[in-house]
Amino acid sequence: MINPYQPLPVKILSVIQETPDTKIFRLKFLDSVKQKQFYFWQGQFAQVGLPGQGEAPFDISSNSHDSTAYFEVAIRQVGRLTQALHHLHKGDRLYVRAPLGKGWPSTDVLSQKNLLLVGGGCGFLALKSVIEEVSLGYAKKHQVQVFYGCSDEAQVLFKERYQDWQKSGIKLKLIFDKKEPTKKYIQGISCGYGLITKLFETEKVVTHASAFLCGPPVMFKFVIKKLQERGFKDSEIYLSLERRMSCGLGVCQHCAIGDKYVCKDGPVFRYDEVKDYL
Amino acid sequence: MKFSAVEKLIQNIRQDYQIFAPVKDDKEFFVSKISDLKQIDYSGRLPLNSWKHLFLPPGEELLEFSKKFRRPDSVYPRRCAWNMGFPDLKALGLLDVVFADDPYYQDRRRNILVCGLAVGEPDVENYAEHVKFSRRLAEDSLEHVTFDIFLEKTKKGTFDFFAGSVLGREVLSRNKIKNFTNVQFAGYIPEQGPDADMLSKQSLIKKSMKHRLWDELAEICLACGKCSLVCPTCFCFDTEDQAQEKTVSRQRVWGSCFYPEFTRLAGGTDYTATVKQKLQFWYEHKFVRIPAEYAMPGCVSCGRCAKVCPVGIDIAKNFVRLSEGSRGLPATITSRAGNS
Ligand SMILES: Cc1cc2nc3c(=O)[nH]c(=O)nc-3n(C[C@H](O)[C@H](O)[C@H](O)COP(=O)(O)OP(=O)(O)OC[C@H]3O[C@@H](n4cnc5c(N)ncnc54)[C@H](O)[C@@H]3O)c2cc1C
Ligand code: SF4
Ligand code: SF4
Ligand code: FES
Repeated sequence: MINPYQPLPVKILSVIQETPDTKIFRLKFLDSVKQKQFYFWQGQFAQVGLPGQGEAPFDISSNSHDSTAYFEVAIRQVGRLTQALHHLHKGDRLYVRAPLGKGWPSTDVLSQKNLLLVGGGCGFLALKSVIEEVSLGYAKKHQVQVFYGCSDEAQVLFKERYQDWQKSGIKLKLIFDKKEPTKKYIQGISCGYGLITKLFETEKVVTHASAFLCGPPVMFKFVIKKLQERGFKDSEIYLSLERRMSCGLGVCQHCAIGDKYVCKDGPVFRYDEVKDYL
Repeated sequence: MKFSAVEKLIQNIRQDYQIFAPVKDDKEFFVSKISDLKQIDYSGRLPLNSWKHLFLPPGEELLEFSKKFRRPDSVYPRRCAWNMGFPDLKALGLLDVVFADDPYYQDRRRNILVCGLAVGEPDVENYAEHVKFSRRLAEDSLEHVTFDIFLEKTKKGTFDFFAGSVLGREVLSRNKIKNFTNVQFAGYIPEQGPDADMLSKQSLIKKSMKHRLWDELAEICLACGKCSLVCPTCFCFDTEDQAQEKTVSRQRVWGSCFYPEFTRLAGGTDYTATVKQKLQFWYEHKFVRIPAEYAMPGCVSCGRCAKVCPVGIDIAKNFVRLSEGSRGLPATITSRAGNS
């Protein structure tokens, strides 16, 4: 019987200090056969751990098309495990169980084909792999709008990707809620000041769209209100939720909400399936 | 058959298995490892500590790390769980399903011989109330529970034997017991579909989250977690790394949703920060999530939680309250816990 608790060793190919508290780790399974067969769906996550420090969930943030070569996780330092992970360097090992959970829906099943992606803070991490995916052609055929709310300029993630994304047809907007930006543009992306909901007033929001959201609970509350005002149906809104996890298998109960498990039935849910439990 | 046949059987089983059975200790009954077969209780009383520690120990090593993570070479002793009551067999069936893909559980489980006992009407306190809470005992049938051997004590004090597995038949045959009924397992879900009582409790809990009862319970509940420790269907766990001298041991240990940290995130967000939220989380697990996922009841109505609760919270009474509806609900407590 396969042991679902068995983590596999991965080697760190590179570490990038992305923001003062977040590092991006590019990882590769030591077992090259495993790496060649590795596949994940955007929005799925990995349990990443170290002996003695346990493990915790992190979104896989790289492009799923590169999955047979490597995959990436962006890790914000907030506690014990993440601090230990931040001490690691290129060539070091960590231990991974992946892919886990159910990610964003395939665009094939969406009734509304345009996309509005809304990410608040490190919730943006969960959207990164979808943005990469739709940048490979989808954004030329359908409109893809991205709202990214951040506390200040220093916290902006994935700047170096913005030009590619824009070329692919993705329309990205940045907004800061703690510190007014010193620049008007970051990598060609215009920056505003205020709460993320302000973008619903200042921007022309895509219509006939499905919305993908990830961020803190308050963001969900207010962004969903804005979406509903614009006629988005509950079944056209998807959320990636964050809960504490342990097993990642739908057994231990740490991540439960109502009749579902964030680790197994999520982390991505259609809003109408979970709205009673939020 | 006479009691002496039962005694002979357990004597023989003891040749191959460690025996665990209910034993009376002062006033209460506990599942204990048996050294003297005379200690074993045959009254049909449910032991207070449930049997789950035999199947899901309070702590076990999942992985050990030195150079790499590997599963330790554990030896799972051959054990016999003797005189398990009907509710506990139902709870075991649930664990079997929940941990179906868990190699640790399954390897341990394979070495446990499960022997049930029914004694006419079970000898429990407040029997009438107990039946109202849950069980139509007559409808509970052996075809829908898991066991190897089952004994039914008749009113005359003799015993009828049943076998529920290949292993059970083998053990009985080896002991020259030919006069047994073979029970063909027919799945955990009854032929007529999922348990109606389970479904009605599920919808009752779903629609009762705003009932004032939760606020009243939250006022008195100590969040001590005793109820979850004795509950045969509480299987929540934590995983934790323990550093040994040269190695690290990744352990799976019993958890409780009543304890702090169970749902806490880095940064302090906690979706079950209040006692009310903890209570609701517990009830949702048993009465909403488990039925939704497995179509099996998440509570086997054993009454243990009520028995151990230091402040007298009684699950059966709570259901009576909830089914009476939420009369006189003050406006201030109508929102779902934590949603403000
Ligand atoms: C589906 C999902 C995806 C995530 N993706 C990312 C990501 O891409 N990048 C990132 O930086 N963070 C992500 N997180 C949050 C990340 O898991 C936590 O920051 C991390 O667990 C903190 O661990 P710690 O030991 O440093 O913190 P401590 O506070 O010391 O935590 C101790 C333990 O609590 C648990 N825990 C604490 N906070 C969380 C939390 N927020 N979520 C789940 N378990 C927690 C973990 O088991 C952890 O080992 C994600 C969380 C979830 C649920
Ligand atoms: S035993 Fe009683 S007081 Fe303790 S957590 Fe359970 S309900 Fe609360
Ligand atoms: S009665 Fe209480 S202890 Fe027994 S199964 Fe139900 S919840 Fe658990
Ligand atoms: S993390 Fe264990 S049930 Fe989801």
